[in-house]
Amino acid sequence: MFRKLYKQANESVTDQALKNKVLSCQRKKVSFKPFYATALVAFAVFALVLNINVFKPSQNTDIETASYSARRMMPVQESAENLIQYTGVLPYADIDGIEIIRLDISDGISVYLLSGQTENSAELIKKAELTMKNIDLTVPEFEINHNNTTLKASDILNNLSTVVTDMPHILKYDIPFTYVLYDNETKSIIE
Amino acid sequence: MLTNNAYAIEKYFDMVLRLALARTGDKHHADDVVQEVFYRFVKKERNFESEEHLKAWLIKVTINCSKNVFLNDFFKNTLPLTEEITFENPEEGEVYYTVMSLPAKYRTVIHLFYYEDMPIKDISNLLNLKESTVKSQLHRAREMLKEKLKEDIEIV
Repeated sequence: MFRKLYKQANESVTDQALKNKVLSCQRKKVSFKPFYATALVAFAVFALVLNINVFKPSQNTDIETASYSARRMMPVQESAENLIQYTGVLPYADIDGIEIIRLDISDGISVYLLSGQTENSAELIKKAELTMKNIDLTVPEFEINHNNTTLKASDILNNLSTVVTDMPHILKYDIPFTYVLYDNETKSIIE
Repeated sequence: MLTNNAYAIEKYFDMVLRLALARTGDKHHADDVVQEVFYRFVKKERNFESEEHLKAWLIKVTINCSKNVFLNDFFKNTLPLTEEITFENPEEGEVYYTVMSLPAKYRTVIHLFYYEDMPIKDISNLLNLKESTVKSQLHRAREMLKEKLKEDIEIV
C-alpha cells in the first residue's frame, strides 16, 4: 500500500520547463561553466593589466546602483528641475544625498518628493520650496492610488508623511521633505 | 552502446529530479542538482555499456551532487519542502510529504527502496554503506513513517 502510494505520488513530481531547458542546453552543447570561468580569468587579467578597480559597485540596472551612478555624475549645484529631469524614469533616486521619489499621477503629471541631508541639498530644497510656493495647489486636480487608497491632491499635500510612510529611504533621515509637481510632457515643473 | 544524450535526458530526467528532491528536500536545490547531473552527463560524453549502467551512473552522480549541496555552509540552513507539488489523491500527498519530513538519510533509502525498487545490496553500494546499516536505516524510517502516517497505510 505504502509502496503504491509513494510511487503514484512521485509520478506527480516533474518539471517540464526544466526538462526542456536541459534538453535545449544539451542540443546546443552549451557549456556555461567553462565559458564563465574563461571569461572571469580573462577579465581578471584585463583588470590587472589596466589597473581597474573591480571592487567598486557595479553599474547595472538596479535602482540603487543606478542612483550611485547618477550620484557620481551629477553636479552638486543643480536646479530642482534639472535634478528631476536627470532622475528620469526612476521611481527612486539618490543624487548627492538628495533622495527623490516619483509618484506618477494622471495626465502626465508626477509628484516628486525631495529630501536631503547636506547643506547643498538643503539649498536645493529651498529652491524647490520657492518653486513650490508658486504652485496653485488646486490646479491641476489629480489623484494617486497608494496602498489601495485613492488620495486626492489636497490629501497628498496635507498628509505627505502618510503618503511616504512605507518609504524608509526618505524617512530614515527624519528631516522635512518637500515636493514639486512636474509635467512629464513639457519636462518642466508646474508653477 | 548508448550515446544519445537527448534520449537519456528524456527517459531519466524525472528519475533524477525525484531522487534529487528526496535527497535535498528542496525544489530549488533539486533543480540545481538535476542541471549539474545532466551537465556532467553531456560534458563527459560517456559511452554506457547498458541501460542499467547508465541508470546506475545517473543515480550515483545525483546522490553525490546532492551531497555537495550540503557541503556548503550556506546551504546547511534550508527550509523544508513547502507544499508546492499538487497531488490528485490526498493520500499520495500525505505519503509524499511524510517521507519528505524524514531526515535526509532516511528519505534516500526509502526512495531507492520503494520507488526505484532497488535491492538493499545495490543501495549499500550506491551510498557506500554496509548492508546492515541500510537495513537499520530502512527499519528506523519505517518506524517513523508508521508513527506519522494513518494506520491503514501498510508499510512493508
